[in-house]
Amino acid sequence: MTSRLIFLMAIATGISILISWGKTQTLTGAEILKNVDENQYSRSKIAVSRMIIHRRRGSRTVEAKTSIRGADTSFTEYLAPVREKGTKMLKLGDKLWMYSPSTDRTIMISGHMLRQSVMGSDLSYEDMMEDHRLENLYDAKVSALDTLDGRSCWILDHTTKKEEIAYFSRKIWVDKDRFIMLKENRYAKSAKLLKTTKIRDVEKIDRRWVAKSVLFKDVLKQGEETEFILDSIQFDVPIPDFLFSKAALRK
Amino acid sequence: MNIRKSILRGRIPKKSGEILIGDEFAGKLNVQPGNIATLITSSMFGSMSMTNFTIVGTVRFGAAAMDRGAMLADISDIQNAQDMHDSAGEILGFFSDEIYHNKLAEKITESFNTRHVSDDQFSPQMETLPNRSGMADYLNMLGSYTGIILFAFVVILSIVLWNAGLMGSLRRYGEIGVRLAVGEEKGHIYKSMLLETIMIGIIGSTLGTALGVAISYYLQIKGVDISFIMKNTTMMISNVIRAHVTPISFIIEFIPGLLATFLGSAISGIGIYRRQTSQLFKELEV
Repeated sequence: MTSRLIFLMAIATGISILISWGKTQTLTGAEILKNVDENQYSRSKIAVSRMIIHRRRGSRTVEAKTSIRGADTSFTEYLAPVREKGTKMLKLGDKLWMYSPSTDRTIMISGHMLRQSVMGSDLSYEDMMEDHRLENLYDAKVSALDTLDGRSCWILDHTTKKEEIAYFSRKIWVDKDRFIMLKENRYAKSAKLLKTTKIRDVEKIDRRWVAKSVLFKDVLKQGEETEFILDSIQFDVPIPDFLFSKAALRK
Repeated sequence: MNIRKSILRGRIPKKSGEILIGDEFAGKLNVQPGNIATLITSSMFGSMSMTNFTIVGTVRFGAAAMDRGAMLADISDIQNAQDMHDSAGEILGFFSDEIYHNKLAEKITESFNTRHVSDDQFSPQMETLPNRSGMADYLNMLGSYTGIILFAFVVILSIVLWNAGLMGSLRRYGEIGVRLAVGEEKGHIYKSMLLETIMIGIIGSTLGTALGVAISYYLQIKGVDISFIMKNTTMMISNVIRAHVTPISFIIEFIPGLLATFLGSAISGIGIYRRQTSQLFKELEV
């Protein structure tokens, strides 16, 4: 009796694994991308992070607290080092403002300034301005399967839906089980590789898989790379409306 | 740069955080001495940097490109603004004679870069003047124009002096005839004429060189203001052009003067050997 029960349970488990496997095998690029976006999207979140900018002559750590609402509204306050402390950035839709406490000036970052590096890192303001939902920007299709750090991945090739976009195409490696991006290459229209991203550590927080440590590299830039470390994150927390206003920059 | 004399409004910076800006630039920004200006730049690490300065005066640099957008600040203020303490982005080097020697510069650059350039983005790298953006064309153009003008002047003046030598000998036709008639050797006459020419050439060239060098030296010190033709230039070059007296100036001025007169006399003097003694009496109407 017991052996029959074990046998039936094994068959049931096998069928469920097969169904789940079959399901993941038949997902289209758009569906995978939607799942990736859903995993990282929340109504609001507050994160404290460190950005370690590695250079040949040493490293520099920039700490920041970021409050994000939806996909295109965020407020960042830099906490360290001393030179950057108190610098704030506000992103409202397609506009980005920066406040410098030492000069008590707020400037709107636009045009060629968007291509400048954020705090000397391998990220640009343009990267910060991107819509967090990739499905809004790109069409994706599964181009291959791969194994990355022992995890099965889909390789998704992205082509842009819009003309004016920082990266014409992207190639991302998505963890099949966790629907989180593990690696990304960003390309120019000429197919020249511009930036690479590698997720080094993933952790489950509030039912979501979150990248805790990420390596960014601007391929066109001299120097080493930028390490992004997420120290803490809270999802779906209330954030006062005032924070997402220009007045909050001077507070 | 003669900054003190170039200040149009305000004063020279006296403490940290004070700057001078071009008068034209100040007009464009509609700012006055006493106003605060924010410099938005990037640090040596690539991050955006904003720094406040107090404008204490406006200045006319005399170079159109600087007048349109330059500011003068204490170097430590700029180092602070760009987070580059105890470092510099560019250092200009000059040869001891203040003249650019490209071949020597290339040799020094190659030797320096072999020793110092590495993958480090901050490793010092030396560049020759033509390697700087747009400077190669400018230097080539300058070199070509200088060569053409110099060559043209030397040729024209040599022809004039040569002609003077020729005419000098031709006009002494009668004198040479008399000297031949009284029995002087043709070779002796020819040699004495050449000796005369050399002496006149040396004296004339010395005086001419002295005068030319004196005028050049005056232009070296005072210069010529060409701002009226530099209004729309974007290159940061001085509006005052100057002559420069170098050892080669003496050679260029002296040698052609001496050679042209000498050659003129030497060629015209050959005519002495063609004179026939039988015709001398007829020519001299004896």
